[in-house]
Amino acid sequence: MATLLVVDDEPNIVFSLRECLGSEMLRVVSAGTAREGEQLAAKLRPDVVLLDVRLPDMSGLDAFDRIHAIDQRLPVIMITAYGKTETAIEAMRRGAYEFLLKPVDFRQLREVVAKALEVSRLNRVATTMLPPIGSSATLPPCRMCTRRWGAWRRRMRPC
Amino acid sequence: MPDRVLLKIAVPMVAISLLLLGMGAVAAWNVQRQQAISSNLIVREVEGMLAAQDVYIGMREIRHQLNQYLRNHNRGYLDAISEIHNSTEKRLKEAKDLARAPEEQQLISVVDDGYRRFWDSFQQINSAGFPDDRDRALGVLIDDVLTREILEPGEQYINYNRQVVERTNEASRHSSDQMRQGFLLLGICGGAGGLVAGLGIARAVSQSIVRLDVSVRSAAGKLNSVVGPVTFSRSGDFDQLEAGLQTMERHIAEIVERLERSELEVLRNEQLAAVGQLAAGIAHELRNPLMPIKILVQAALDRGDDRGLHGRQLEVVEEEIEQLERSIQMFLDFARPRELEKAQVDVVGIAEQTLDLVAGKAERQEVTIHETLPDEAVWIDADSGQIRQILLNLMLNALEALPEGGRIEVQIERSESAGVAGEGPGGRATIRVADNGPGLPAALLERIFDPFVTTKETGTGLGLSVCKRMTEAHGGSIIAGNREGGGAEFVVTLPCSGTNGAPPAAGPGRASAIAPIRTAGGTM
Repeated sequence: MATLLVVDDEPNIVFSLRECLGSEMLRVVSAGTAREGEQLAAKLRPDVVLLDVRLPDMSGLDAFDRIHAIDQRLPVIMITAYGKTETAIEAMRRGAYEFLLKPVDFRQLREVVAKALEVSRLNRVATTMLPPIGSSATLPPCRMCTRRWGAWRRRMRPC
Repeated sequence: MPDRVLLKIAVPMVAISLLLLGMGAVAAWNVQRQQAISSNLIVREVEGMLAAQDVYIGMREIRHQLNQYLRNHNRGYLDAISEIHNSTEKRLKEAKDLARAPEEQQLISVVDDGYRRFWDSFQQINSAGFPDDRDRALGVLIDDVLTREILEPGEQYINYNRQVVERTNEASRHSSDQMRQGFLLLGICGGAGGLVAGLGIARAVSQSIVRLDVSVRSAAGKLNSVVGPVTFSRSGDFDQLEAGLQTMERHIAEIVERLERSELEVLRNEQLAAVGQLAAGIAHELRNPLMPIKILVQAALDRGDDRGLHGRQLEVVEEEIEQLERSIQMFLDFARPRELEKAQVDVVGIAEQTLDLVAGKAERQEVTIHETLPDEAVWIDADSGQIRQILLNLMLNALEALPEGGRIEVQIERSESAGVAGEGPGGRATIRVADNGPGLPAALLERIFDPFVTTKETGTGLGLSVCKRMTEAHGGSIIAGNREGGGAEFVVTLPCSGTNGAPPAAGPGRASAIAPIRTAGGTM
C-alpha cells in the first residue's frame, strides 16, 4: 500500500484530499506543520508528498529542503494559493516534482499523484536492484511491475 | 549666523565710536573750561588795569591843575581838583575792589595811602591863609607825595597788571597749543582706531567669506556627483561667491525636482506594491477555501454515481463558502467601511454566538477554549454584525496561531464608569482574547494594526486593521500584546450603554438582538 503525505495546515483541504485520493491502495497521512511533516516523512517514508507552500512554522521552500534532505528521490508536489512564478521556478530548480496552483483541478491532481507514485515506485525498484550506480529514472520498468501498476491505477477510484 | 557676523562687525565699531565720542566730549569740555578761565582772568585784569589807569590819569590831572595854579595863582584850578577828587576816589575804590593778587593789593594800598595823605595835606594847605606858604607846601606835596607816593606806585600797578595780562595771554596761547596737540592726537588716534577696526572687520568678513566659500565649494563638490561639475575660479570674492551660490541654487532646484519626482515614483511603487500585496492576499484568501470545494465536487462528478456529497463533505463545503463570504466581506469593509447600524446588543450573547461558530474548527485543531463570561448581559450600543466580526477575527487569528493545538482564553467583563475616556453611561466592556501560541513578533507589535501587516506568510494583513477601525467607530479601543507566559493577547474595550444594571425587561431582549446571528450560525 502506497503512502501519500499531505502537509497542509487547512484541515478542510486535508479532509478533501483524504476523502478523494485515499483508497485501499493509497493511504493518506497528514501533517499540519512543516516540522510534523518532516518527522512523518522520516518515520513513514511516504511514496509521494503533497506540500503546501504556506505553512505556519516555516516557508514552503525551507520545508521542501528539509523533506528533500531525507530522501532526494521522493517526489514532492508543491501546492500554493499564490501565483508567484519565482517560487515555482525556485522549487522546480531545487528538485520539486511538480508545482500546482490552488484550487487544484482534481483530475490533474489525480494524474500528477499517479505519475509521482509511479516514479517513486520505479525509484524504489531501481534502488533495490542497483543501489549504488546510475540514475533509476533511465531504467525501463519491468513488465511485472508495469502490470501491477496498471492494476493499481485501474483500481484507484475517486471517493 | 548673521547675528554673529553682525556682532563681530558692530562691536568694534561701536567701541571705537564710543571711545572717540568720549574723547571728543572731554576735549570740548576742557577747551570750553580753559577758554572760560582765560577770558575771566583777562576781563578782570583788564578792568583792574583800566581802573588803575583812570586813577593814574586822575592823579596826573590833579598834578597838572596844581602846577597851573602855581603858575597862575588862579583858585579855579584848586576847585577843579576837588571835582577831580570825587571821580578819582571812586576809581580808586574800584581798583581796590578789582585787586586780587597780593602784589596788586599792596601796590593799590600804597597808592591809596599816598592819596589819603595827599588829600588831607591838600585840604589843610588849601584852607591855610598865606599864599606863599601855600605855594611852597603845594610844591612839596607835588614832589613828595603826589609824584613819589602816588604816581610811581600807580605806574607800577599798571605795569604789573600789564604783565599779568601778558602772562594770561601767554597761558592762553599755551593752552591753545595744548588743545591743538590734543585734537591732533585725537584725530590721529581716531583715524588709527578706525583704520585698525576697519582692517579687523574686513579681515573677519573676508575670513567669513572664505569659510563660506569653502562650505559652498564642499557642497558643490557633493553636487558634482549628482548634477555634474559646479565650477569656482576664485575665493574670498563676493561676486564670485554670489555667482557660485546662484549656480548651486539652480542645481539644488534641479535636485529637489528630481527628489520630488522620485518620491512620487516611490509612492506610486508603494501603492502598486500594496495593491499587489492585496491582490496576492485576495488570491490566497479565495483560492484556499475553493480548493476543498473544487476537489470534493469534481471527485463526486467523476464518480458518476448519484450519491453526491454527504455528511462531513457537505459541512466542509459550507464552511468554506462561509469563509469565502467572510473574506469578501472583509475586503469590502476594508475598501469601503459600512455604515453603523447601531442597536442595543448584548456583547456576551454575540461572544457566545461567535464561540459556537469557531467551536468546530477549534475541536479539529485540538484547541480548548476557556470562556470567562459574565452571567448577566452586557449591553452596548453597537452594530452587532461588526462586533461579531471583530470577535470572529480575533478568535480565528488565535486559532491560526495554534495549528497543533493549544488553549484560547476568551474573557468579558464590565466595569462601572470610573470617569476615564472611552466609557459609556454604563461603564465599559472589556473583551480579552488570548492564546498560548508563538505570540506576536516584536518587530511587528507596534504596527500590527496597520493594513498589510501580517504575521502569516500569505495573510492579507487586513483583518486586524479592519478590527481596529470598527472598534474605533464604536468609540472603543483595541490593543495587542504578548503574554508573559507566551502567546498573543488582544484586548477590546467598548463603551457600555445606560441600560446595564436595569431589569431585563427594560432593555431589548438578548434573543432578539442576536437573532440573525444565531440563524447564520445555526448549522454549526
